[in-house]
Amino acid sequence: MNESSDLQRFQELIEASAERELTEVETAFIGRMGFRSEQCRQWLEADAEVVAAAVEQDPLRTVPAATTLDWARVDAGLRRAGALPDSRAQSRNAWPLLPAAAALLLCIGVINAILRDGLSTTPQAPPEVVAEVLDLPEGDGSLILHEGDDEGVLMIILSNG
Amino acid sequence: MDVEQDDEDRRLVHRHLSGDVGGFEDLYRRHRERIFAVLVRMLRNREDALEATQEVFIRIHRGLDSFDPSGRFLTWAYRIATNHAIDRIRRRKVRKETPIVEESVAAGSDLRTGRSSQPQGADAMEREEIATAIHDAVGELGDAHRIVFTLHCYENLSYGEIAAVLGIPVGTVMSRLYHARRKIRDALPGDWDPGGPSRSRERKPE
Repeated sequence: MNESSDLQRFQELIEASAERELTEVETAFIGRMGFRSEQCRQWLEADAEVVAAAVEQDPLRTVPAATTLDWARVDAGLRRAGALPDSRAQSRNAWPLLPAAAALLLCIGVINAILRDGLSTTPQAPPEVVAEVLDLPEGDGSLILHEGDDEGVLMIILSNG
Repeated sequence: MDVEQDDEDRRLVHRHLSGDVGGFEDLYRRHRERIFAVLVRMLRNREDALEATQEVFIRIHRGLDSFDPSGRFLTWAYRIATNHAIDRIRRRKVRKETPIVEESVAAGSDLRTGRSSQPQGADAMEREEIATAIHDAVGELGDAHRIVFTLHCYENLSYGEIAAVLGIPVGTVMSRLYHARRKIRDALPGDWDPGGPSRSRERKPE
């Protein structure tokens, strides 16, 4: 086929595609000629420049960016679906590290002070000291220290809450 | 579309598949604006597009292990977004779309930057007329034509890229785009000259 008959068939097939479904061979012909033939390409894109200029005027050419609040909603949905890590779980996992280390240091200091100076002036057997981190509400980070002797119990509560 | 960007995408997919939860999060933060924008243009409704963006990224997350790393992540993501948009359009046929064009044209400003770009007089009327015409015309395209038109004219995808995204032959992309362009051209004012005075003035420095 020569170029003009190719162009004619190209045009006919493109026009026909609005009315009926093209065969695989016809579609392949359009694809091939649309790339190979300068004439076909020019005819195919005859309206391209005008339409592209009009698209420049479309407000949707520049889509207003989603706000931080919008993204927070999407993030929350993705977290619920398990696509993003749960930030609360992360903070739960991270909490023991710093506050617990600080609480432990304080605890050791208090225990040392009690062992060194005692709680009263009366001689007595070495006090029994029990330190424990209670299962308090999330993020509380409280630390309670018991000091027991014959006369009672001293309870020290260290809290980062 | 950029080779370095594609490589970085593949690296993030690999990170995710290796068990690093940050891999998907980085992919999401990297492409969410782009996916959101394409969904706004296809769905022509901001709220719908936001909801769709969330659903698309959930689908991407669930399907990442089926992503073929020899392909482009963005093409794959566009395919998921496009299919999802088509599903949504079909489901909501009876719903009225929000006329985004009215609020943004009326405001006369670039909503992304907040800068006023309101032209004066005849220029303003012409721009508004064209803006309304193009917006309405694109909205009236059939789904198949609108998707192809959006991917080509707004997302700047080539014929081949659109064919890959939609999984259709290049010849079909060409014929759909031809008909979409012709419908848009017919909807524009007959005497509109894209190289006319308003565009010439636009190019002049202030």
